[in-house]
Amino acid sequence: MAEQTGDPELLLPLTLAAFHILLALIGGERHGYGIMQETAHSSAGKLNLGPGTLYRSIRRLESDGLIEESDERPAPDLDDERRHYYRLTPFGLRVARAEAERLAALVRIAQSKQLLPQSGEIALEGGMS
Amino acid sequence: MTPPSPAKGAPKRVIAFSDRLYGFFLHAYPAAFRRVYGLRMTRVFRDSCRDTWQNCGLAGLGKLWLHTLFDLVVDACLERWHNLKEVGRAMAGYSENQTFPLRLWIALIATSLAFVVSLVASLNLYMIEDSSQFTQAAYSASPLLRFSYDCIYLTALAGGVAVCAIAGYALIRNEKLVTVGLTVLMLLVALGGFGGLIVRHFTTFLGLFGAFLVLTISSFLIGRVVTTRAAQRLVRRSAATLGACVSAVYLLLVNVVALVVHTLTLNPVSHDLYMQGQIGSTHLNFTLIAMCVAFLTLLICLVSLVRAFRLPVRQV
Repeated sequence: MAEQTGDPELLLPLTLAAFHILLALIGGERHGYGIMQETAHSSAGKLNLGPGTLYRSIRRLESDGLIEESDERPAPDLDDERRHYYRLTPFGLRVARAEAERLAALVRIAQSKQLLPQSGEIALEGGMS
Repeated sequence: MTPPSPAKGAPKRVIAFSDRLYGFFLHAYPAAFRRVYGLRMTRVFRDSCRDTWQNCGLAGLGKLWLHTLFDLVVDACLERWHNLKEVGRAMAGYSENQTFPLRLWIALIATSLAFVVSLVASLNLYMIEDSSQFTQAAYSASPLLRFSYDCIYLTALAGGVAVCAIAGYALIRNEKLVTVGLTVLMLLVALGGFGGLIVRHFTTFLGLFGAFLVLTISSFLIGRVVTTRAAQRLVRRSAATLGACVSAVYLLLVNVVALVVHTLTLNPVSHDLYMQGQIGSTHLNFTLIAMCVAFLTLLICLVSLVRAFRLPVRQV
């Protein structure tokens, strides 16, 4: 529905797992385990997706048209051909961007309320502890 | 993004066991989800196991298992809930779109009424004959007379189950529930109809119960065949009701054949009991009335079923 209308806002807010999967696929095609590793790495180990959560999210993202299966393999010689690779669709990229903007707007509100330091303050103060 | 290097020896066995166990636990998910994602999930879990074993050993694997089990339980519940909601939505749409054609209603009411009349007539005949010591003597002498006599009774009892099947399929949406209910009813009818024989004549009970089972199961199977064929044109519930109508007609047909055989065997013109005046016109009258009613009901059932078969095409 959202894909047909082309409005990314209809799918927001994304779940944490879904947003992390989209972020993991921005760098290129990945298989399920690759997405899981990238997610754990980018969240500094705070988000460890189990296989169930991963594939339920993937199914949802596929049905919403945000990701799709890919026939291209980054390293075909080294890889198991039974693996399923996924990639971001153009619509998925727009939704990820819209979600990032939504989160950034929230951060700006938190900063204006002095819940968070203003941009650049972290670097000036040597980081928040 | 190379896959993890394969483990060797004991770790390999542990990982293979974990792999199989996880594959088994995946049955917690709905079958449709498992068919598409089951293998992919197992592969991801296997890769996780290999990496965890290499980096953290057995303790790490235990931790991974705990995390995965928690993920599996929560996720399988969510997936099943999602499925239930989908099915609920589909059912709501189905019941909104489902029409129970008027002609089918007429067909099943006519069939049920006709069969109930025939059933009462058959039971009435059976009870009258059963109370006469002369007819009992005649039945002992003629196996065919005995057989047709029992057949009238058993088809009448099985017909009662068939009438309930028609009503059940017409009124209750859950087909499985109707089937279970009918099975229980069938056993109750058998025990109520001739259960007393268990104490007095166990062999006779077994014979009657066997014949009763053959009648009910064969009528059920005939109904099933009709349901399957009718489901191509009608919605499932209408098709099941139609199948039950045909089951009732089949039983009525057997009932009529048994009545004819019975009347011919106990021929009022030449049979000794009639000749000796030991059984009189009452038996003949009741037999003829029961036969007429049965023929009439058969005719009504056939006409109503033919009308039901000429229903409009599937409307879902």
